[in-house]
Amino acid sequence: MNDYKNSFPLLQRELDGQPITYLDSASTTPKPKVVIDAVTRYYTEMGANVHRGVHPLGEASTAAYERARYSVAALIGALPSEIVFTRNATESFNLVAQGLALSLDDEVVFPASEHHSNYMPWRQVAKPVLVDIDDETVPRYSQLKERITKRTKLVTLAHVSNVNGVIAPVEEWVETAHAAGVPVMIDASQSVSHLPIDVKKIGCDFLAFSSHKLFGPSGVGILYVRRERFDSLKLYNVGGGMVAYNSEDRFEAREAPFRYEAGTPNIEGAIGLGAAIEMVRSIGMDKIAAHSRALGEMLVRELKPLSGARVLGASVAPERRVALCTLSLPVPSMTQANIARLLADSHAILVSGGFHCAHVLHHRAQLDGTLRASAHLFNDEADIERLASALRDLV
Amino acid sequence: MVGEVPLYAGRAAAPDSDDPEAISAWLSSMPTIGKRELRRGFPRALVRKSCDLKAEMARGAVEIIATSGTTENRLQVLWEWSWWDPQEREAMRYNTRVAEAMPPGAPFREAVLTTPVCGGATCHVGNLSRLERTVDGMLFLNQVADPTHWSPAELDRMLAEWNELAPDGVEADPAYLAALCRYATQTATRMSAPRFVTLTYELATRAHKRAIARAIDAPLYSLYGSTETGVLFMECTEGRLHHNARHSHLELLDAKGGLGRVVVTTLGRTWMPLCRYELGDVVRPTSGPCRCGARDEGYQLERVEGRLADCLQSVDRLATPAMLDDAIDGADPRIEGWQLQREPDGAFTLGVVGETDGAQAAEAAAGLLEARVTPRIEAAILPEGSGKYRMVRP
Ligand SMILES: Cc1ncc(COP(=O)(O)O)c(C=O)c1O
Ligand SMILES: [Zn+2]
Repeated sequence: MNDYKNSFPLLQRELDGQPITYLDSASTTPKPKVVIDAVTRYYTEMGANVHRGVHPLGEASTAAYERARYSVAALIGALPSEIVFTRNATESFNLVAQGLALSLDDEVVFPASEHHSNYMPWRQVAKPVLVDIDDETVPRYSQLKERITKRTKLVTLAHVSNVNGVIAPVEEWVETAHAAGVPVMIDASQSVSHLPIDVKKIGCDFLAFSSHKLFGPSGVGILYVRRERFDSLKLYNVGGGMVAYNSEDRFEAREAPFRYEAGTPNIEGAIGLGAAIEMVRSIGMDKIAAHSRALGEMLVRELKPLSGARVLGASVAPERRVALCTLSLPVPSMTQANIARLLADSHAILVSGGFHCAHVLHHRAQLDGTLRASAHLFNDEADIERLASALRDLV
Repeated sequence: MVGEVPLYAGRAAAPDSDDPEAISAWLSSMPTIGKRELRRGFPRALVRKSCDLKAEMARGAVEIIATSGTTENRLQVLWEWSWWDPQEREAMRYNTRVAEAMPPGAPFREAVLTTPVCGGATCHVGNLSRLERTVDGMLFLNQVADPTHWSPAELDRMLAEWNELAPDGVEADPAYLAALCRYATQTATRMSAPRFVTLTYELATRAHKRAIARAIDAPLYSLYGSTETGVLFMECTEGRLHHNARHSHLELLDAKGGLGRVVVTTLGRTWMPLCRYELGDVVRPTSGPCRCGARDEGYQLERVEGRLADCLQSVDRLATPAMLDDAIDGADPRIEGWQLQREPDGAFTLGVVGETDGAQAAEAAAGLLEARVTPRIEAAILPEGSGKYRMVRP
């Protein structure tokens, strides 16, 4: 058994007397004990609000919260002042969509495979311009150049697709977009816990992800903003905590990133995320990436031969995938969601089934739902073998 | 004083004679106090019975200065310009170049760059104009609690104000000044050269000094003291620190390996007189005549070694922040900032900022500590709540 499994209390539980096989990390990751302890420590030792405390508990809370911001920055090669805490990746996209002050005839270019989280916010404020996807749902990346027009205000894409697990050529996209003077936002929701990320190397202007897919608590999201870009980002939520001065006739906002963090934040969540990041950093992102690649390769190898299986992005080279594999499996009278249920109920194998918040991808690929298995650092080959064997029994 | 201040009630009265030995014997018979006692007693137990604090505060003669922090460093201090200014000026006269640059009575332009008096969201002031940040002729440049949060616009503002003022003297927290200087170097912005810079508030690392020297053509001198004790030492032109002897009585308690722990008894302070107050710092004393020609009238230091709370006991000696800095910077001068953190298993993580993987520095620190040290690249080092930096988090 993989050593890391022991660090996750959730993975010790059983369903109907069977130990669980957790293959749904793309949906959310289980939380290691270090994260649970960090959250508990906030409640038992600090418990105070941040940025306003004059007593030692308030200062301890603030220090722990700000330390988490530093951990996030270190993980992605950013400055702490470039890290805005939000509620989730979705809110990060909304913050940028609102902050850029777009109009409905401005264009935002992104692949047709994007998660709704990186689709709906643009649809609300501008005109989405889609980059096509191929039969395996992988974006036709080279189309970007022809999709950019004078009206293009932003290019955005997932670093790793939550549906096909393919790693996008983000650096090339940034180069192409910047050559046309267009800023780029990256959705790192599915990549940040699998791959080393360096925002300076990628060169992106914005980047978003959620804590809960990185072993941290839910209710915390991250928005990275390259510091020169703050100037073009309007205020989002307003209220307490973001104000330096307020009188009846005028107000002054605090400096970035605090000006975008109105109201009491999810303090314990951020502290938990900090602990999660320190865990993955001490394991080493390179080591995690190698493990993810190996499991990704095995998933494709094991699931592709299943009778009638259509594995998305199966022809993409293993070094361009993470440990995520989505397929549709024809089983008479069962939807893909039914299959996922069956895996849980009879084998205690937990995977996702459905549309994975990517309806346009499924429409375009003429797929009536899919089955998604996603592994992570605590999974091993035996877990994947168990899934493959359960599915073999089924078809 | 002992009988007059409630905190010292019950202690033996001072000897009648001026004999230094009798005074030393009397002092060393008393217990030392620390920040904890000052916190507990503040302010009543620290005020002489004959003094009316309320009235003097209402008159504006005394104010309360608060320092924050999550560690032992939190303190509120009763403070008056009429005490601070003369003793600080006197300390600075131990340095002949500084003394020359500030002849009594002549105009003197000074800039201060340190933690903001008001930062974050706790102060209800907003951004202050340059005029509002000028107090007694001193221009306070910084308004942000953590220099990593300085935006390019804020950095440009500070550099512009610096050059407009063209200060004769600058007083700075070395971490803050190093950050401003790095930005000036990166953006090729010239910085007007003052006649001297005093580095104070916290220990200057070798990397701080290098970053400052690259951007500013001025001598750098350490000035060592605290809000509650006043200035204790000033660095002379020859690099030694001389005791500001008229304003405090000093004891250096043996900390082994040629090091001493600083214990201060203030002299002639009306408000908050301190009797055997252990400041929590470790220094390296030296002796003999100094080439600067200063009269040999008190303690001299080779250097300040750092906070006692940041010192680590390795097998047979104390490893101080300054010693760690020598080892780390000596091994890898690409490191711009570092912080050593003790892990639950007793090993250490060395967070480093700079264009390096930190491996050589970690090895050097491991040699000094005789413990395992793993390097880790950081985007920046997080300051404490006080805005100052801890070099070691035990
Ligand atoms: C690629 C991708 N983007 C965005 C999100 C949205 O994350 P959240 O729901 O935490 O905002 C997800 C989560 O499923 C995702 O997989
Ligand atoms: Zn001297």
